Amino acid sequence: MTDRIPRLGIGGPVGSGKSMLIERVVPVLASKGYSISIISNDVISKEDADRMRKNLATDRGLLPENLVIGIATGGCPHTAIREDPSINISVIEEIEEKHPELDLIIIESGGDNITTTFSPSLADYFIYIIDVAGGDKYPRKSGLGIESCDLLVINKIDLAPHVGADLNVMKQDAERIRKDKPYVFVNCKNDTGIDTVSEHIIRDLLFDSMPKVTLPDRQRQ
Amino acid sequence: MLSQTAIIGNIFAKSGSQILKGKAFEKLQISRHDLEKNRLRRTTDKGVDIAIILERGTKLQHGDILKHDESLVVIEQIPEKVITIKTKEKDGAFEVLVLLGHIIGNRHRPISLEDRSVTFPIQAESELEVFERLFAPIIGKIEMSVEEKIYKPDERMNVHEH
Repeated sequence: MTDRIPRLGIGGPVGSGKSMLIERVVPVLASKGYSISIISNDVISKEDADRMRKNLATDRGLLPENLVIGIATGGCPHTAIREDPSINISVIEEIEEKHPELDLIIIESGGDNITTTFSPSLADYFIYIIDVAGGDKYPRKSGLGIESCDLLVINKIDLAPHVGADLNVMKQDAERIRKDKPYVFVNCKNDTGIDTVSEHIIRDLLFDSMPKVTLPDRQRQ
Repeated sequence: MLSQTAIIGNIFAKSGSQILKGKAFEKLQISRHDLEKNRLRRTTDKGVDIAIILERGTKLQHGDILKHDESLVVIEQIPEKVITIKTKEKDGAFEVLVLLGHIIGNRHRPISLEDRSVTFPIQAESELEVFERLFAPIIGKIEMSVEEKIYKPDERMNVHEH
């Protein structure tokens, strides 16, 4: 059996910034030498996967193009990451077989509601992302995703003054609902908070391991 | 790199209590949800940072004893809110039992069965009102109570919650 590659699940409502978060975090992790594959789930299209492949692989060469994979799941997005994650698991096992050198596999869910969670058999670490434009009541409304995720990301903080959202309310509610579990304010447009998200992934999911393939090795390949 | 941990027993097993006899140990509180994970990093009650990687298919349980370097860590599952329902009739009318199963199953809750009662987890006490309404057709034939406990679902039914 090949070694398990750590798996990061990212979920959140439609338009909260799941793909954008991946587009911002991957360059930070890649610059530290980590090799990554991305699986993007969507209901019908593969648009997010195509965009991430172009921006991260084709244009910037941060990972091979064939390691950005789109899955059109049909049905409710959460079914493919929780009730029956078999499509995702079979894709992951194929990747693990062919690319044991990878340090991390990112699985993006299609946009869903506040009860989204990942099956523990699919993801080892779960980031749930919401955005300020959804209203400052969002953390307080709780829901399994917000409450149980390993890291809560609150995106688009630059929009707070424009939509009448009070970040202080969101902060207090996030702390109350999540007790000692972490949350982070982010603005994906200018990378605010992205380093903090990357640090959480390296610490809590990768356990501070060094990249499997060091940079000079990779250049020789 | 953090040193990893291995499960060496459970305090509720005979051999487990032998392992801990006269030894100091640390405690690690984990939610039922996180017990399902194969890979996690947490801090014990004494502030020690530990990394846990389990084989696929194995999972942590309340009372598991982990060996981490030279120290011992005991897993303590965090109690959660649950609803317990007992049927009033001793032989349990067919209709009541079927409706109970149907309503709880429709809410995608795991269940555990004990002494003619069924127990399932809730996220908040506000859910009690929801279930009182759902059980309205049979409410006179059941007893419902809320408590906080270490909840172990029946493993035969693999359900998801949302």
